[in-house]
Amino acid sequence: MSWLRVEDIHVHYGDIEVLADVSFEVVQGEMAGVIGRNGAGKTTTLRAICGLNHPSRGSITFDSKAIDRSPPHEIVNLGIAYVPEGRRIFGELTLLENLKLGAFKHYRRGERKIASENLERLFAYFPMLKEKKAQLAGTLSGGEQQILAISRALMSSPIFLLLDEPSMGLAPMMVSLVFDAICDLHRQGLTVLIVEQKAYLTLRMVDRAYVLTNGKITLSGTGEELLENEEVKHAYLGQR
Amino acid sequence: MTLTTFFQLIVSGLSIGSIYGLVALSYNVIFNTTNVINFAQGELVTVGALLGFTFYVVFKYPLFLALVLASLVVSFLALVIERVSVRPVKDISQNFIWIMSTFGFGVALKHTAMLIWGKSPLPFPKFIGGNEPIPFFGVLILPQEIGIFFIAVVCTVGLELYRKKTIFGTAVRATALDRETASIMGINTNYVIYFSFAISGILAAICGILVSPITFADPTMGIVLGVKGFVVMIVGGLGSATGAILGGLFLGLIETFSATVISSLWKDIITFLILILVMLVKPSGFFGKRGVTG
Amino acid sequence: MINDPTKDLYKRFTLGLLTAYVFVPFFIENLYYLHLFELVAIYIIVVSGLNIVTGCAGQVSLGHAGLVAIGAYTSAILTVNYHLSFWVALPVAALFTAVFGALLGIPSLRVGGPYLALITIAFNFLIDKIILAWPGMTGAAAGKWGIRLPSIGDYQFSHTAYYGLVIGIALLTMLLCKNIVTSRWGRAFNALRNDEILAKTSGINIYYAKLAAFVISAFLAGVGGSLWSHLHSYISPEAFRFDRSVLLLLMLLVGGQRKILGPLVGAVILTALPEFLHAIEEYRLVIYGVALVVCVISMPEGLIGMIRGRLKIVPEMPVVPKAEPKPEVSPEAPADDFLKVLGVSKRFEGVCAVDSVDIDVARGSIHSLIGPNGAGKTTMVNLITGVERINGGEIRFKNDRIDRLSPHQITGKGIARTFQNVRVFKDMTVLENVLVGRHCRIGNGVLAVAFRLPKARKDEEKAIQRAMGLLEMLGLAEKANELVTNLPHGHQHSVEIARALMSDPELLFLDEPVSGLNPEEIDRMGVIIKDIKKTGITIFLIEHYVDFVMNISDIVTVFDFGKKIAEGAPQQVQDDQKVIEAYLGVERA
Repeated sequence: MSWLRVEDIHVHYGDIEVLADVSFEVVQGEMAGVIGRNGAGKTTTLRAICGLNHPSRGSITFDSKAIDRSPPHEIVNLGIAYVPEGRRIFGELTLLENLKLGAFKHYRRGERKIASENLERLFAYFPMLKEKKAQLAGTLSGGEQQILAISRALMSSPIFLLLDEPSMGLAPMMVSLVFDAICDLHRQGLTVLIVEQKAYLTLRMVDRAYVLTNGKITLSGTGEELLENEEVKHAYLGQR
Repeated sequence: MTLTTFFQLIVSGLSIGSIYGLVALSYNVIFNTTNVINFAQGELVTVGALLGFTFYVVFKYPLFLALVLASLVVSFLALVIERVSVRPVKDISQNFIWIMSTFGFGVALKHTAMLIWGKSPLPFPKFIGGNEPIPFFGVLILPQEIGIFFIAVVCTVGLELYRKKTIFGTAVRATALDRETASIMGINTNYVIYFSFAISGILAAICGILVSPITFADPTMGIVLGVKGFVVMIVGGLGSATGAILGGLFLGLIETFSATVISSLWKDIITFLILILVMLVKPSGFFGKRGVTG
Repeated sequence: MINDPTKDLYKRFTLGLLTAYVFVPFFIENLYYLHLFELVAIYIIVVSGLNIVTGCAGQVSLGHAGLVAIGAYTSAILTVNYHLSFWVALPVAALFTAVFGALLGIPSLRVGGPYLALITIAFNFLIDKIILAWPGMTGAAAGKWGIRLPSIGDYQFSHTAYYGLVIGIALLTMLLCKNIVTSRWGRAFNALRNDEILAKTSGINIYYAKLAAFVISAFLAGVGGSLWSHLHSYISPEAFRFDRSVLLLLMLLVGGQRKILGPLVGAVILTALPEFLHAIEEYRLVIYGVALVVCVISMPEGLIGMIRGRLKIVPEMPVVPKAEPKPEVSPEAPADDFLKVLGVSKRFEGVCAVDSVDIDVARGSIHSLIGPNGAGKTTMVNLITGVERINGGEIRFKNDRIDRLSPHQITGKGIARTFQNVRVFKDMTVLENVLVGRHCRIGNGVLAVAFRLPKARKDEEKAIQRAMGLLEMLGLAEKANELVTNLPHGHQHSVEIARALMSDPELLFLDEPVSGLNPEEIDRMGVIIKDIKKTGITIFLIEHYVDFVMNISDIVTVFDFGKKIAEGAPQQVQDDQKVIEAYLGVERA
């Protein structure tokens, strides 16, 4: 069942067309990936889905609801969580405050218990969070911030997680840690859409992937298919 | 100067300083979430004072009711400012636009107030204690002045507790830090902004009513209060509540002492010179973190 | 062109109106009305100055009446207390006020926007308090009496004669301001208002420009103040308080910022209107306040701007004689040292954005920098061009250390750049954007351009020729007078490049020159870059579009995590396993 459906969207920044005629689907329960070199429009795709940049044409539906005109806070309420590019944690707030903000949706609805349960679960899964909960988020290392950003998103009990370049700026060991955690979450039932520059890493993890080049989808297939496909390398490093 | 006079000046300084601190706080509340400095803030205080006069002195409502009513009206005006002068500005970094639009609103507000209430200061009875100063270890202190100080501290502490200890306060801080990311947390950032303006209005009304017994409800008080509040906000550090109160107290003390020791005329000159000095030497203020260049 | 007849009509109409306006008062006998005309002329002078500092340079002056007060009181004191002649007092007052303008300009170097606005408000108050504190000189609150109209020898000016003087000065002011605004100084002011960092890297010393704007406006305020004093035989501090500053700003906004006739229109409307609206005199300032809000939010171009917009008046096409051949950079003997980046590091809040990097750029080459997102490429360019300060290492250009210089100095040394995501001066036309690039190579001062001295005129002509030549090469000559933001994205890239080339750079940094372009435009850009290389300019390129980079570069440097991980000829780099891993990740687990 296609759950997230992006149809023919065009997204502009000012008068620059960043995405043109982009269409793809994500099925409930799957892990999908969008890869491509920088400037291809990957982040814009996720921003369009979570409501930060509305498409000028085309539609985005989630669970049969049109979300392409909704403001971000409403989209969060539908169960979509977005981990932004560059993590964008609130550096001047503590780790714990960052996490609590992630659960804002629950606090607003008076669901304190759910928020606390989520917190405990995340503390169990990532002990580092509990150790450093009183630390200012800005003092954490890149990898720790990424863990925080993902945890923050998970605090809202999402059913669909959008990850924007989780490997950016991370040392290889941290990258493994983060990606292992993501796979784990997926196995527990979370639907994930991951946008990444590191193509091979992503293709090994996802069920399906799309290659974005210059604002258009140029290749698609299962993770395995694309791993074999030389075209992927060319999309990044050019033709010989 | 006798020791008694010295302490009396300290009390007066702290009390007027508290007002400056509250004005600075009300600036900060808006600045923190929108990066806009509301040049009509002083006039909001004025209107608060004048409304207080009408409700408390003319209609003879109980003080608390007068305060609530005045706060409601001034909050509403603050929301109008948001709608009319701030929201239409697409690019906040083009600061000329919102400087002039909030400033213009202030001008219009001031003169409308003068049309309604006249141009002369209106007498306002002291509502904390009476007109008689109370002896305190040999020093004569006006209860109103102490009252101002305490209420200012209560407001500041209350606001800080709210900001730091409640989830909604944290949401406000988050909006101030990174509006987009706050919105993807599920925070309706537009409401946060409306809320900030409303709080700023309430603080302005409280300021106006608190200070009126000392300075009378004066339609022309807005500009000077607005400027001094702004000075304090900068000296104390943009966006910092502690800085606002401490800066306010600092300014209040300096003013009161220079008014007595030098002259009333020179007190204003000194205040403005301090402002200019701080701006040149340490633009981010003593407690502030943000830069002020550009 | 289609709007020619309309434009002609507009010009003739304005000229006619202006002439009538100037000459009618000579025939007015009623002193009250004559006085109004004199007042308007004085406002024109003061608001023209405000137009330059606030309208053009964007430095908000909310306390301008304070400057006028200084001029007024200085002139009054010199003539009444010291019995100097008006003809001495006027220039002295103007110069004295100009000094205060410089003082007021100093804070603008450190703070901007609302903080500067606050300082100007404080300034207005301060001047008021100082006047009140000095009864001996100024008469304090009681004011100063006995100021007289000027005289030449035995002849004392009548009001009609004084009007002649004042309107003459006003017309001269408008003319001089027009010359300034259309010169490199006007462009510099507009540039720094639009985008300070861009202005700096285009070669403008913005500190100097800001001070210049303040000094000019203060000088004019001083002239206006002095004329004000002698118009009224009595001045008092009330005339120069906050309300007056508000009025001046409103005149500027209503008439139209950055328009030469703006101050005139604003002054006329805001002086005449209260006369007709005596009935609502009480509401005057309320209306002013509302008008300020309305003007700045819905009518930012003012009345003149609206009229010109309606009639679709555009600036005139510059008259360009034959195109000059593109100046070639003299091919010096290939030096060993052109650009050397030695062990440079940059940290941002604990994160190492650039980590001990060495780069050697050879003269005459096309050198590219690639790498995954967040690798530190733009930071590297920012460090070299002075936009960011390095934390360690050295940067040398032709053997001179440049890592401590400010951006405009680096541009002066021969390094120019464009920006990621295209950065142009949004309010200015294509031609004006390009001409800004020439600012650091023309040396004419404000007075020279104000009076259009021959050298200034020639330099401007040559600059325009050069600019138009570049625009032709880029295929944009027809769009010279269009607002740069009307152009499609791809063309804006080219405008940026033209602007960078105007400063005669030896080294040109291009940050993502083909981002957002379609395939044809990308090919064209490749041709343009190769053409630039042929003129002897060295090019340093950051790009993500790797095909493009590989085709055009002599050398490619690859960054990852702020470190250099590979360098060499394009083919070499494409095959380098480390590079593949940096972009794509490890192929086999």
